[in-house]
Amino acid sequence: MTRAHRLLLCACLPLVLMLTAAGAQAAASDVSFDAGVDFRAIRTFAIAAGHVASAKPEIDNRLFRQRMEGSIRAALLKKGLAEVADHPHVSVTYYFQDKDVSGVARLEPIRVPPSTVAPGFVIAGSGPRPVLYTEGTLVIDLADASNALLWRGTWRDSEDSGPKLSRSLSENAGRLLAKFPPKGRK
Amino acid sequence: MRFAFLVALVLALASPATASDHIIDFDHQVDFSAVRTFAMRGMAIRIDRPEVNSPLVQDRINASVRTALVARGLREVSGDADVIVDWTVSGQRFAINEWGHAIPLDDVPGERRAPPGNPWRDLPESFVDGVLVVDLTAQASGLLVWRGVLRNRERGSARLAHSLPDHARRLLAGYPKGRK
Repeated sequence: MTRAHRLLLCACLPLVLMLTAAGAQAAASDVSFDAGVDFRAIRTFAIAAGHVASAKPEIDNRLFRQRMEGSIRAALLKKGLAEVADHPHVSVTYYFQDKDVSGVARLEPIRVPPSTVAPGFVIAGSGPRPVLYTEGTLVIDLADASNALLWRGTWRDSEDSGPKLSRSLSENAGRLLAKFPPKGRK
Repeated sequence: MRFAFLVALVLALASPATASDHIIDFDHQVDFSAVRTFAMRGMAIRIDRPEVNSPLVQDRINASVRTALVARGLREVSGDADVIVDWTVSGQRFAINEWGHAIPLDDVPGERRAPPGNPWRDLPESFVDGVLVVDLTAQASGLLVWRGVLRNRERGSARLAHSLPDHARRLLAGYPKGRK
């Protein structure tokens, strides 16, 4: 690798990182549960109607709900639970809401190499430019027959497009339920 | 030369990009190989710009939808059809203010919009976010059985208008012909 190549690489990496950060799609998940529950005794489930608070056509429709239920069903069946119509050990409900967010991204000038004394060059910054994205929150609850909450999984994500958010919702419903039952309580 | 290319690439990436993304959902319980006929029903363009909200654009989208469905083996009928086709185009135009914020220029219910009295409402349009939704509803059950949603960011309403027929075609390329 020549010196020119190294300089180009030095210039590219921070720019790529900054551009990626500008359209950041940060996701975070969390699971909480009732420590007094014997999760080994949970063998059956039923899926209750989901609650979707979104105006997006790719999310607020029956086909999306069908996809979500399919993802939840597949995840729980994989865990060895059986779906039943009557008297399930747990009832599964999901909630989703989203919010559109508007921000600004800016690229600062970059000196390559960063040293102020070594010979090099400066890549001009750019922006500010608008960044629009949607924040989504998905909650999956498992409750017993008395409607007491036994397990809750929460997932938050920011995506720059509605279709991307819609796709990731059903995928992440499955990922959340992969954390059921809590470790050491199977 | 390579450096110039890199700078050009970076500037292109840093400017407000045009982008599109789509998703298709369909009812997995429906045997789409049994769907033989379709009828066009509702079509609506909810962007108040003459470049987009025009009978010519509407006709071009209709033609795209028809061509795509016929290519999938469906036949258009005027009366009892297996599926009813509806489509809508909605969207939001944005300006960019001196601090780089995207300022919504339209009052669209449920979408981002500038608050009343916002001094930036008179800024020129910088880009437009368009949404094309194509729905297929089973006439017998009245249930939505297929939906395609395409979101597209363009540098202006005219560009959006020109891209819509192609977007309708792209969406219907995902029609699950022969899948049960």
